[in-house]
Amino acid sequence: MNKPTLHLNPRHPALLAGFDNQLDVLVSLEAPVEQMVDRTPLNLAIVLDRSGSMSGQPLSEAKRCASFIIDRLGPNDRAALVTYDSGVELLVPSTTVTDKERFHVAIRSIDSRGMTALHDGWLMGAGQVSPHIATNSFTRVILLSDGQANVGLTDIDEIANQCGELADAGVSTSTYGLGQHFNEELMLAMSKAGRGNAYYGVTAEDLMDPFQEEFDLLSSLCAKNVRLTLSTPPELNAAVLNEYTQDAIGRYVLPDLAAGGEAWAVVRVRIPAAYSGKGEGDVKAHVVAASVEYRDLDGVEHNPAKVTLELPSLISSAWQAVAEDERVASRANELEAASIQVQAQRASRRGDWREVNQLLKRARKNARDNDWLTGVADKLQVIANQRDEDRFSKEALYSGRRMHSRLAMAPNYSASIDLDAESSELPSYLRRKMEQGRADRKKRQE
Amino acid sequence: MNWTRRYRYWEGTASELAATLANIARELGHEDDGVSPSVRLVRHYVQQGMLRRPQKRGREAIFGFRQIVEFLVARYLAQDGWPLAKIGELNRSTKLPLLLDLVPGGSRQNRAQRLVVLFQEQAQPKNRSPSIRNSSHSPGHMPSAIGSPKEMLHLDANFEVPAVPSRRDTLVRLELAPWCHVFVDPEAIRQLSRQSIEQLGRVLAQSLILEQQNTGDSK
Repeated sequence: MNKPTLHLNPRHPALLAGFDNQLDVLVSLEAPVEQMVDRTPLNLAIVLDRSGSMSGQPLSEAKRCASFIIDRLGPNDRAALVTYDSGVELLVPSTTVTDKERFHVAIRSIDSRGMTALHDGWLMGAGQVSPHIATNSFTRVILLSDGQANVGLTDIDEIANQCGELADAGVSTSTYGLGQHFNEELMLAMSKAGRGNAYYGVTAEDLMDPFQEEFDLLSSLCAKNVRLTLSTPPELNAAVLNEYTQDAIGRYVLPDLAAGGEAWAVVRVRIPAAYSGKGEGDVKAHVVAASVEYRDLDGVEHNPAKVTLELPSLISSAWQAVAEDERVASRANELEAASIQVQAQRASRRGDWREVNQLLKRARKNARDNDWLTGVADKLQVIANQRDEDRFSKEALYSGRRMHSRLAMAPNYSASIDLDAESSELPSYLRRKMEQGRADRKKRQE
Repeated sequence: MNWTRRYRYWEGTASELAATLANIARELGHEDDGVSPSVRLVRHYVQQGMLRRPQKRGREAIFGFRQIVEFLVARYLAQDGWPLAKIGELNRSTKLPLLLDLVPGGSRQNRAQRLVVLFQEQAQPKNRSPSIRNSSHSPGHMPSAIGSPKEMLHLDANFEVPAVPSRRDTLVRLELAPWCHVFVDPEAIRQLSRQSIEQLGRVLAQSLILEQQNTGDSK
């Protein structure tokens, strides 16, 4: 198998006859197991904040991350280097990465000063990559900031709208927030609309991890511009639980797919009693159909055959005897946890820590025996106990966003690796972190 | 040179617009569509809502680049059988960079490039800085804030070049001395008369004197 495959998995393999049913269906686009031999050429703009607040270790670390990206690029890639403070400086115009020393010299020359013209910096980056968009390459602006946009355009909706328009035109945006004072609402909105990733580091030391992760992801891409279309019979009601954006014709925009991963969505389908059958068992009812469109690394559009889910109707005793699909249940729980985290973030911004604690308690209960979800809730509780509003807000929002749109490990891939050694064997973009803003210290020590 | 770049900051009356459109039609090879641009046709299109109304400046009605593009789109779509009302609706509701998509040969830029230009133009009036004090840079680097001394702003009206912001990434650096670098818009320089160039020189001298005085004050 060397092409992504589309699957539909219901939480229950049957409908309960004579009753209203609520059924979660996992829609997943699985990447092939094989690693890409040649990764897609990258067309990147690295846009670094060098405002006064970045002085010292944050700027040193940001420069180290930029150098890291440059070192991983090759002569088939393009890169531009932009810095911004009160204004914007184009340090290296977009060029093929044949002379890395040119980039390193420019990176070493960056010093800190001024305020934060974040939008201008981002736009300069977009201007650098846009002439070089090609169907067989991947174009992205990588924007780093530790502060609030306070020069030039600062309106979140307007900036996000521009990110969305440029994403439609082929320029995606990933954002990296650093420290306590960056605007997480802006950075998340930009990356969501810009169809890139959102990362943050609590300290400068935590910044390299997400850079590595993003680069690993870009290096292992196998499908981009993934669009999902769903349809149900008119009697049914369906909603996607993930917070994916929809394009102009209603298709859900899924994350780009990388080797070993699966892009997924949970669809909650409400089926009225009249549609649930009479427990015939052998007669199947059509529940949901899904189709995807995506582009491969050469830019060729693919539209694999539509997949349909049809389920039998069972009487109560037979229905209760069949087990639910744990993977689907786990994903639905994950999305519930993500929603709770976003509610907790809002409560923390209101200063309502009592509500935060209640929500986190609910999150732990919801996690049941899922160690990861429990761990995430515990980490959030530690921050909540410190009444650190900025830190809690960032961690809860990034964690929620990640759960809503992360690439999961594809079943065919998990079957091919030793799961006991998950942290070292898994590609970084498939790892599930307990804390979004903290580097994986264990990995770092290794 | 691409006509969009050449006429980007064009302004003129209805008769000048008709003449300009005829030139562009020749350049684009659209002469054979059977309809010659004329003042009457321009006014008719304005009445029909296919072109934006011109700006009033004193007793004159001034058209711009937007109306050039709208006219070309209107001609092209009308030939294609579009109803005039629909063309007007499209022209009114579509952003300029995307409207250029509809003109055959209208743009050599891709959609992302046109969006970047649009966003830069939308943002620039808010971002322009009147100060050059922050623009000390190592050779080869672009200034982070390109501005003008106040004296120069007063002289804009006398220049042939419209007082439009330059795109920072297209500026060319002139090294007047190892310690003095000037960034210029090559397109604007092309349009300057000898008189304006000399005027610019005097402004530069004024700026240096002012800067020297400011530096002295700060010591």
